[in-house]
Amino acid sequence: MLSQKQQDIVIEAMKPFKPTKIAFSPFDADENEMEFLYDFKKTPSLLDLARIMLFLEEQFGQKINLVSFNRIHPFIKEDILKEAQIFFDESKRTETNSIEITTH
Amino acid sequence: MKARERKRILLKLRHIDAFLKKLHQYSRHISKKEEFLTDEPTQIIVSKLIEDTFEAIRVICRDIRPQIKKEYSKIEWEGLVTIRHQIAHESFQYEIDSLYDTMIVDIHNLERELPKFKKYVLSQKKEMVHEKKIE
Repeated sequence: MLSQKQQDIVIEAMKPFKPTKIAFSPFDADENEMEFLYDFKKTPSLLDLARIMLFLEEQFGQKINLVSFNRIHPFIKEDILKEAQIFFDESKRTETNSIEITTH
Repeated sequence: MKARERKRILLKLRHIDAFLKKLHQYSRHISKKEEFLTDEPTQIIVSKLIEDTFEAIRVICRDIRPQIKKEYSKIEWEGLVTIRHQIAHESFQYEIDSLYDTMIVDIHNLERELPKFKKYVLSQKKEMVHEKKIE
């Protein structure tokens, strides 16, 4: 489970790529690793993704894994999505256009 | 920089040249992203050549001091090595769009910066000769 502060750090790191959805995925993760699912409007290059990973690793002191929602393997997709904790969803933005963050 | 390290770095830089030449050769027929997204064989080749290129960067990283990495920080050493690990261990489940952007943007930036670093490595021979004379 992610704290509000951790969620904010992840959202901020991904902001330049206009995220539509970000989730924490506890599926198959060990205690030294954190996995995040992402869906961006703006395509990041692999180096952009690596920068995000290195930044989050520095912030959280843990190995970070980033997985695009569209690239989750079909074999485990259902299980991953069932357990995923979505903490940013653009479709749930308020009328004032601020970001509504769902805390789990 | 020791002679052996210098030699190893120059060898790796030659490997990178060869990988990037192949990358351009095998992706020459791609003129826009949409073509790349439907061309799986080219995606596989590009992914492999990018992995090989960044593996060579990883080896170079072992041989240079942090101060030199800092001096040539426009080459994002750590980021490139991270990509290599992620591709090699197949844990990087990225969009193919991202691979295309790396081929176009990240590789282009690397090609712009590497000659400066190569020039520095080549200049180290003069330094080594100079050091010997002083000894």
